[in-house]
Amino acid sequence: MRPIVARLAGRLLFNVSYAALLLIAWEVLVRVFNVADYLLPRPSDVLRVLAAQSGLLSRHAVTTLVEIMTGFAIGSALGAALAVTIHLVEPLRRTLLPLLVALQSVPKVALAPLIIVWFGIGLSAKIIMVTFFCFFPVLMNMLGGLSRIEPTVLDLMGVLRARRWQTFRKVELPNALPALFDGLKIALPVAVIGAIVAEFTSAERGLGHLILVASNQIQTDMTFAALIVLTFMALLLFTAIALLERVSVPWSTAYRKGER
Amino acid sequence: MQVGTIAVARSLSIPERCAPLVEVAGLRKTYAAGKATVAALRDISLTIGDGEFVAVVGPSGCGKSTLLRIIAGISPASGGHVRVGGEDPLRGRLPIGMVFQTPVLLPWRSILANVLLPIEIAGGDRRAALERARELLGMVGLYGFEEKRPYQLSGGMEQRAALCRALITDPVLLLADEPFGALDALTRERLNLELQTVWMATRKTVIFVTHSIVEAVFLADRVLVMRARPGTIERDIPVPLARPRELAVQDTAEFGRCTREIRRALELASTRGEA
Repeated sequence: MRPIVARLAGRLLFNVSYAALLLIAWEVLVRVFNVADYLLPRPSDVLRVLAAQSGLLSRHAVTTLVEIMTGFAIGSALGAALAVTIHLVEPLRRTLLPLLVALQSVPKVALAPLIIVWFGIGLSAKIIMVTFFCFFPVLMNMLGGLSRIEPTVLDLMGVLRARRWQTFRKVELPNALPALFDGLKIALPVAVIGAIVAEFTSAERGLGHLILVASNQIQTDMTFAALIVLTFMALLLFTAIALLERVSVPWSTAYRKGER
Repeated sequence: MQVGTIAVARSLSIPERCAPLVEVAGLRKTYAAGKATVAALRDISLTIGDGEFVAVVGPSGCGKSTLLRIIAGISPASGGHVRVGGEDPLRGRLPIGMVFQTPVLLPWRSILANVLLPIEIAGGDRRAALERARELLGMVGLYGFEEKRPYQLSGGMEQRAALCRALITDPVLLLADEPFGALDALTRERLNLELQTVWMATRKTVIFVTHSIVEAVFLADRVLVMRARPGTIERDIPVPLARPRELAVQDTAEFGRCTREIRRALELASTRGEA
């Protein structure tokens, strides 16, 4: 136990010092070259905004977080459910899947105005946008995971005279879990993009809205502060998924290096 | 007369129960390869008695595995007649156990849960099977490894667990497709000994495909030698060695005679197969 704690503490110390070093370099460079505030603010200015405007920032952050999490949950569930359906109902692979691929090939950003027209400028339009952005990576990864099965395992299920449903439940579904997590990890950053694009298009709240307004008013330090909050939020969500993966699929080959 | 026959049979380790369990007659298997059809198996006929241990050897691509898959009911024959315990294996209900070249253990299940998989699928009594699973695992030296995951075990241990999984349903027939081929020589010898012990305790009918002549002679009552392109059975060679066999049996004259006979048949089979 001790060495693990020591190693984690060491890594944390390294990361913090590294980040501090970069920030100091940034601060020094901006001062030395006398860069204009509206082009590149000093880290100290950004930190001051983060502290002074923490109430405003967190209000907008909560809105964006709700959009991302709700849309991500719906989109992921939809993607996984579609994958399972297409996997189990073979004709859908030739009918439904091409439609979804075509739908996905539409530049999603270009759809944002249309979605606003259809669903208004409220929360639901943002959630739909996020859902639309993130269901596809989950769908494709899950679909791959469901069918990427060692043929011998299917032979085994054949010898055991397993029913279709049993093979699905006991082999294909658990086998697809690592791929599902791969899909979720790709979908999360995409979901963040979806939320910000929707807020850029039309919104009254949210970090995307804040970034847009701050940039228009050339409050570059506020833009940076909002960007930092957004990045931090996305990183936290990503870490949560990675932890969930570790707990759910500890048998995944990704973790097995050197365990034998 | 009966008593005498049985006594002789036992000493020669020819199975006592000779009712045919596996009957194959005129079996064909062809594959479509582009526009041509390739004959993988042609006119295979064989009968395997209940309780018999039969090894199948042959050059690569002779259709050993294909034959096994057809008997297992996971691949349809193109023609001919296949019966296991009187049933068509494609539609049969009798439990069949199979061990593959790789252990094929499900990585998300513990060793015990892997062994119990066939029971879950057959909808059997899990509680009763639990005891049997522990017993089987103990028999192959995996006592105490029940809760380990497959990737925490060595290749030999994984294959032992796979053997337990194949036996958990008390199958009428055990099929083995080069199960020890990927293991090192020492582990392989040890597993051959263990398999013999298990076989003598359970007296399952076994069809064991292997590349190793020594392994075939050591384990089997009979060795079928196959020829390739198309796959046919070239020879049926009995192994009249008493059981239990120890590793030292490999140094005996009788063992040598059997391996020589099989090697000769194999050489003949491969030269004619390529001609």
